[in-house]
Amino acid sequence: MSAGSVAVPGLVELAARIRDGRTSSVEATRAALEAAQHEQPRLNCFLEIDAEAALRAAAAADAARARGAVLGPLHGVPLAHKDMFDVAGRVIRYGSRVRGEHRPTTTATVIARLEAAGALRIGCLNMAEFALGPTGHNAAWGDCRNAIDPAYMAGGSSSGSGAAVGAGIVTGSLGSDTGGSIRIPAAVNGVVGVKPTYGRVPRSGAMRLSPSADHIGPLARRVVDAARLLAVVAGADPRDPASSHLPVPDYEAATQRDIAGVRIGVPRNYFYDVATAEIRSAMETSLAALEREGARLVEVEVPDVAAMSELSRAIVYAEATALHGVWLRQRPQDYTPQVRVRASTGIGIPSSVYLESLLLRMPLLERFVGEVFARCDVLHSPTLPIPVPRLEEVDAGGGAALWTTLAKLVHNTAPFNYLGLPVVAVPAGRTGNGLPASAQLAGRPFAESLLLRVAAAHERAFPAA
Amino acid sequence: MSTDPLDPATIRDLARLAGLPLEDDELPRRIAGGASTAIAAVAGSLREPLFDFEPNDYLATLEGLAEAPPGAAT
Repeated sequence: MSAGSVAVPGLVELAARIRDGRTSSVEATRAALEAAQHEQPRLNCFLEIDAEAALRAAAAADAARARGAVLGPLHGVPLAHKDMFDVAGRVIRYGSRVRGEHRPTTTATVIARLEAAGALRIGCLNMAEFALGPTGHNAAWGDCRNAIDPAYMAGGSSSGSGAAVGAGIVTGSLGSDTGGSIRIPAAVNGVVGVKPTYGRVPRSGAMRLSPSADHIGPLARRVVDAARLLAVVAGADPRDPASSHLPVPDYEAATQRDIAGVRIGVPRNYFYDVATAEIRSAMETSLAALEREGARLVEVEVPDVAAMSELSRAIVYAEATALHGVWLRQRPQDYTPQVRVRASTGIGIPSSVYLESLLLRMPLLERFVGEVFARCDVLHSPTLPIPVPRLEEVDAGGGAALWTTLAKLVHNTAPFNYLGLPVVAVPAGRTGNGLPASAQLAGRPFAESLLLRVAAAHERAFPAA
Repeated sequence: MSTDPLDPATIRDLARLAGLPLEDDELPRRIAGGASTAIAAVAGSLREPLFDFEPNDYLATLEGLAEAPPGAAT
């Protein structure tokens, strides 16, 4: 039985069971490790499974409980995270062969916070090489595959996080999102994903793809599980000057509140431009569920959004090429071809254009928030405008149709990375191929509590198939 | 405004100057395509001078917009 199976529905429930002694951390960790070993040949969602260290940490957690130690909110809970968070002394590869067997000397702030809350790690999860790709492909370490049907893409770049949580191996995982990399894997594996507001979660000790657009956040089976993980990792960090000092609210409490009177914005433009009929139908069902819970639907015109994916790319390309510059000069052959193109595209972005894109973000953000969130509290849209593609549809050899499909994958997610607004992706039924649809809920800056509150109501009204 | 994309030869020249080797024709062509689209999007979004904005104010801008107006859900 895996940690996320029917008997243990989620992280909060598992933490409660460990806390009150209904199960031990060793039992939960052993179950997670067995599930990981069982699923690995099918999904390739782990780059490394570390059973020995995990069981040692679990035994220590059980011993601490036995001696009456103060227990954190994640005490003894087995988790696993994207291969991009430094852990002192452990090999962290960023999903690439370029970094070799590099062992960091410090631990990422988010991992340290999870450990301080009592969580342990059973291994390191697959990801797109250097987080550069939305499909789950990884030519360096093997592709990660969809938890529901391995013939379909796992999404990226937090592919292993989506697949491991979707398969019930672990109840939660950290990923990162620079253009959709938490929300897309969450969507296609049928789990919850949270891209917080820029600055809400510190990035110190995490791989940087584009410091101006990188966000770290949780993927989890249920909304309340994501809320707990977010509460643990959020908050100011002196090691990350771009982290916000605004207080961290009680996200879990927010998930218990009803949504009577909350205004849900339905975009008139852009977000349905490339949506298929099946996705439109899934979103109508999703909106009806929120309406049944007491929310009010309002139509909203969304300003400037059509250009935002490209504005975001101007920043990401420039910053990624700068960060990768030394390796691209010294050992370009160690990059896989697709990733090398993506990491090198900043060569063609003039510095003035990069700076213009950064500066434009503030007036566009003010206009977006002023116009959209004057009319609604939460903006609802499909996370993916198309049904989950099969893996071969998004392979490098996919021809001209490949680029159209790739553009569609990030069509609805990337604008929110440019703006830095918080977004929660929630499961919203299935499409005809049996794979999940997903709705994304966006809000004004630092509105994570409201988004989780609406997401929890959505989950109650519209449980995932 | 011209919509002609960057010439891959220009990308090759820039890369050579920066010491970034691009050994085949496909790489500069694809980089030129991606960069051209992004540059055009930025140019097309500019409506007014940007003297009033400072990149380091981005987080403060987000924090300043955090408070919901009266009557909004929180």
